Amino acid sequence: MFVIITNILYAMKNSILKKLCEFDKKGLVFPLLPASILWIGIGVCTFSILTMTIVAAQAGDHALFFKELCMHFILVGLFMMTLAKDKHEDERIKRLRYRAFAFAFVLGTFTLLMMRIVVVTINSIKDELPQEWEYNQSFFFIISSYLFYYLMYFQVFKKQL
Amino acid sequence: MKNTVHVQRAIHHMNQTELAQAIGVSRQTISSIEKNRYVPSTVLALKMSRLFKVPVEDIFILEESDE
Repeated sequence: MFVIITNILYAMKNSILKKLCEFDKKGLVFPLLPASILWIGIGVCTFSILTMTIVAAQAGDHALFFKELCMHFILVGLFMMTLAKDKHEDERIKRLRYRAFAFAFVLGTFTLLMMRIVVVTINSIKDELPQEWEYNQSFFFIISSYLFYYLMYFQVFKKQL
Repeated sequence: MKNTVHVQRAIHHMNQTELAQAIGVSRQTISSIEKNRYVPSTVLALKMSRLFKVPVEDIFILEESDE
């Protein structure tokens, strides 16, 4: 049973990676969304920010829940904007997109990692060092996913391309 | 790497928009190539070569700094 599941997972992984490699050979970034999605993403972000502002002004029972829900939808909107095609999606735009992805990944990860160290350093100077390293589980999950996926895809692309 | 895209375009009496439409890119891409801000892919270089009916080496020329 374990062998069958392993084989199925291995076949699925190979199939997905093969498709990704084919995308890369054709000079494509990812299966991008239509250009109109950009405006839907902007709309989702704007609506979420406005709703969050209104919710923050009211101290209801579920204020915190709705605030975090709005924050989540701001991220959804930003992600839609990220994956939306440009009006003239040609090879120059695709290369710029690759470059932007790379910069966002490296600088984003670096900033997040440094922020934590800076906070701890300032706290230690002020002699307010906490008993534990207050590590948010979702923070760890996000950063480790990015880094793990990067390392995995880099090795796979090196072998297949 | 320098290029003679604007010269070839002038020889063939084409403006940037017409060239862009002929090879399936945006006008901004042609502008970036002519200003040496963007080096096109092999596919795009070959498309230009076919359109202008000259070898790729006549459009894109390596400089000493590229070696």
